[in-house]
Amino acid sequence: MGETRAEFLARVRDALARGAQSLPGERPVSPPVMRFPPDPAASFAAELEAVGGRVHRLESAAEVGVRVAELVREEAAGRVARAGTPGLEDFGLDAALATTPARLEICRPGAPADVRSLADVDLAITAAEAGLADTGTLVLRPGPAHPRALSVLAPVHVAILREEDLHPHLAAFAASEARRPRHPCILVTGPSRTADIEMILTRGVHGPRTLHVVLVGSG
Amino acid sequence: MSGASTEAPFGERIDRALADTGLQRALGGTVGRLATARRDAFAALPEGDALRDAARAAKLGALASLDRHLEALARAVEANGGHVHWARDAAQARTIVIDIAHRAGAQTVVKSKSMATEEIALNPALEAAGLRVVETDLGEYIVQQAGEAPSHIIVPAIHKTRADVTDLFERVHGTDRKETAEALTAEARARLRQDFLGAEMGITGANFAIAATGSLVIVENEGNARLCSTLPRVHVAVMGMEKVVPDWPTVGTLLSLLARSATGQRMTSYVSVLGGPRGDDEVDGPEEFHLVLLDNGRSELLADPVLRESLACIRCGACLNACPVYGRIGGHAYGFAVPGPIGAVVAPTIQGTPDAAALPFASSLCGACRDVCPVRIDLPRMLLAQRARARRGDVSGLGRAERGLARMAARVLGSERRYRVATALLRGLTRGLSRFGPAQRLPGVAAWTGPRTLPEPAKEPFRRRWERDRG
Amino acid sequence: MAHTALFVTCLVDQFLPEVGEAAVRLLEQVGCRVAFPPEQTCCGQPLSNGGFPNEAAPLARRFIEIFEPYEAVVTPSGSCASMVHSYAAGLLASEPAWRERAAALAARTFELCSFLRARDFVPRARVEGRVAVHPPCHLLRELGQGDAPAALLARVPGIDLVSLPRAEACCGFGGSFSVQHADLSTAMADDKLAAVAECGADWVASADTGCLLHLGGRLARTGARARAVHVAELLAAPS
Repeated sequence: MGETRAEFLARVRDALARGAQSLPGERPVSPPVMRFPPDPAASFAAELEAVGGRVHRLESAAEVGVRVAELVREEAAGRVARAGTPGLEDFGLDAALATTPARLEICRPGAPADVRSLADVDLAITAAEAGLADTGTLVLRPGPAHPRALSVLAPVHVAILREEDLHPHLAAFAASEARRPRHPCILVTGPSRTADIEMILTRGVHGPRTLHVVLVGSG
Repeated sequence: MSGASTEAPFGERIDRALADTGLQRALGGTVGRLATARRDAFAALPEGDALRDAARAAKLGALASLDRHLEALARAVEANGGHVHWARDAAQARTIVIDIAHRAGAQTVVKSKSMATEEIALNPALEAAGLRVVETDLGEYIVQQAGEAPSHIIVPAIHKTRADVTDLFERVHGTDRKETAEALTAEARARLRQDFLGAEMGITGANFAIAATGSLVIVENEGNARLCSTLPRVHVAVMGMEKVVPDWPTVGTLLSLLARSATGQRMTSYVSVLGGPRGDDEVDGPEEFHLVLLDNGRSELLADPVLRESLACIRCGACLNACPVYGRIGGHAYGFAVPGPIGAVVAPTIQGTPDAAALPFASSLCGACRDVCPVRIDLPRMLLAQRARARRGDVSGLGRAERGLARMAARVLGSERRYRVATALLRGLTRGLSRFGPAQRLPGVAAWTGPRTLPEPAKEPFRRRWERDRG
Repeated sequence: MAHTALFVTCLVDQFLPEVGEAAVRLLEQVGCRVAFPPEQTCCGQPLSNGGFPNEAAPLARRFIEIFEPYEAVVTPSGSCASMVHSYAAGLLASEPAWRERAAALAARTFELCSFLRARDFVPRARVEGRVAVHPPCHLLRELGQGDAPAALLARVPGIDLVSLPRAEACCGFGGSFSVQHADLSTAMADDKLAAVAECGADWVASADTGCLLHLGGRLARTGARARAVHVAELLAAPS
């Protein structure tokens, strides 16, 4: 079948020894310090919109429920599912969504996700644990009440992100992740896309065709 | 579908490609756009050069301790509940994956784009073992339905026009004709959704693996890799061993360069950082995770001081898009899973066939590839090293004749007297040179004079004139 | 006064000696005393590129011995100049003594246009017709002096110099590539010549004889109007 670890690594070590004879030692080169976007929230919004995401900037958490309800109506979503993460409870989503015609399901911890059911959801709502300002990227952290499949199966994904959770850039996020790595982590930058057919850009290949980010200030 | 198409020898495949007007049109419209997008992305990135320097150093540093990083990676993956398998070569890798599939009782496999799985010709082996294999990356799905191999590592169906895909889908789906890319994509999405939901096993590649955390990093735009690594009960990732890097900051540096180099995007739509099977408190995700580490000739590259840096490649495709040869002949002509300059560098060692040994010679050594490589691999230098290896290893009749010629040339050029005598001889032979003259029989002359004229050698070479005027 | 040695290259010596003569005139115009070491033959590039480094290395050593007595070495070929620059890390990398001598000589070895530019050469030529410049790949990417030919030509009074579309694309010569993969090489030449036609140039000027013979040969075979010429010939043309 396969080799053992020992056999495989022995061959690698042998190759390293053979190849090292005339190689100069590699000196590490520190990566450059990346620019900080002067206005992270504005940068995040501009970058994400440039790749087809839609960003809705709100001053405070109090406005989130109403805006999400508007999006549900705008997208004519009949079935809505949201992650059951504690962070989402603060936004008064359920009460706001009750004013729409949509049927709302909440993902609960402990119960295995019904993936086939999730596949029929029209609009998915998750929190984003963090964001990257210079690329308009969301950091999603699936977990107990946040199925991995939730944000990829539905054709519309609404993510709620607090401005205070913005990292300036990927390098900053990488440093923080190195200190406290947790799996899985999904970085999302815009809707699902492809240019595989004659380089014609098309959205919504396998993942969502529409990504809305509700960016919440601390007002 | 295997990546190698070696029925005809390389020279013939080149000729076919050059004569294929459809291919020429498709390549002409697409490759340049990717190159331009890359250029624009780096023009907007002042830290670009510094990032490339850091990325190169990081990759070379990682390669210098590859055994340690692989060991740490394996320990971390196993601590996360995953299984690690060690494949010396393509055959072992195929057997490993088939065995996993059989033990898992899998019938349908969904796959996301992976050059490593192309390299080991995994799909035909899985099918022969009774599995149904569904490529889910749109470009890979298209070439799979067409019974072809991918021709570009980032845009697998780059050689197909939209009209080609319309015809193809009408034929293989039996649906009515879809004339827009949007409609074709929607059709593929709907069909593949059922396969994602029903497959027992998902197979992906990996762009990077982080030794410190046992993480797999998968970069994509479509979302199919997320689905392949989330929905099926079993997730198998096949990865070239050189992809392991020590830590997250290294991945950060490489991610800043990867999408920009490949397509000009700052970031792809999705980057998944996975730790193996679903966590204890997770509600979905695979129950079983297997990482298959692949050598398949990489240790030979590692052992060569000059060729080692070819393992720094992050498979972005920028060198393909910059290469005037790739731009003319496309990916299939190379007959190897990874085409273009980096393919020509590694194929002779990884595939090891005489056909692959010819690849490094199909280059004018212009160096455009080196200019765009995010980790600054000196590709022309690698090509030369592989040419020299090919000469040393070539025991065929043709090889002997060329080596003989080279030795003769070296002798002639090693002495001014011999050089004068030989060039005087050649001048005599080519006097009154015409397309049908006796000089045509000299090696290489006909190949030159077919498409181009050749001036007659000057009656008085420069050195004679100098001697005469100033000697 | 020290001498500047001319490395004329095999292709110039045999096929285009007038390029060598033009180079001498140009070097004298910037005040050089030009020497022509008579024992010179080849820098070894064709053998090295062909995958025969062991056969090429003696030629590299021979080159160093012949040329190192001179203050500077100038050659009308970007690829030959870059070959010399590559000796220390390439053909002679495993021989410490030769490596040092190679590095020392490389520091004094120049391609013609970049040498003239560094000497603030002002051409006295007159050039009729529209000129487009094709920067040879080695001069452009290995030596980083791809703009030198155009910079010099721009100083020719009254010259009609046009920008060549996709100028940085390789012409397709590549040494033995031009015969081993003739069709591919020709396809690349045709792409380059389409760009020449697009900008309406009468001359495509290059600083490498390989490019010149390849493009010039294709222009002649296809009956095109434009002609290929070495930059040195234009710069040294009578005024």
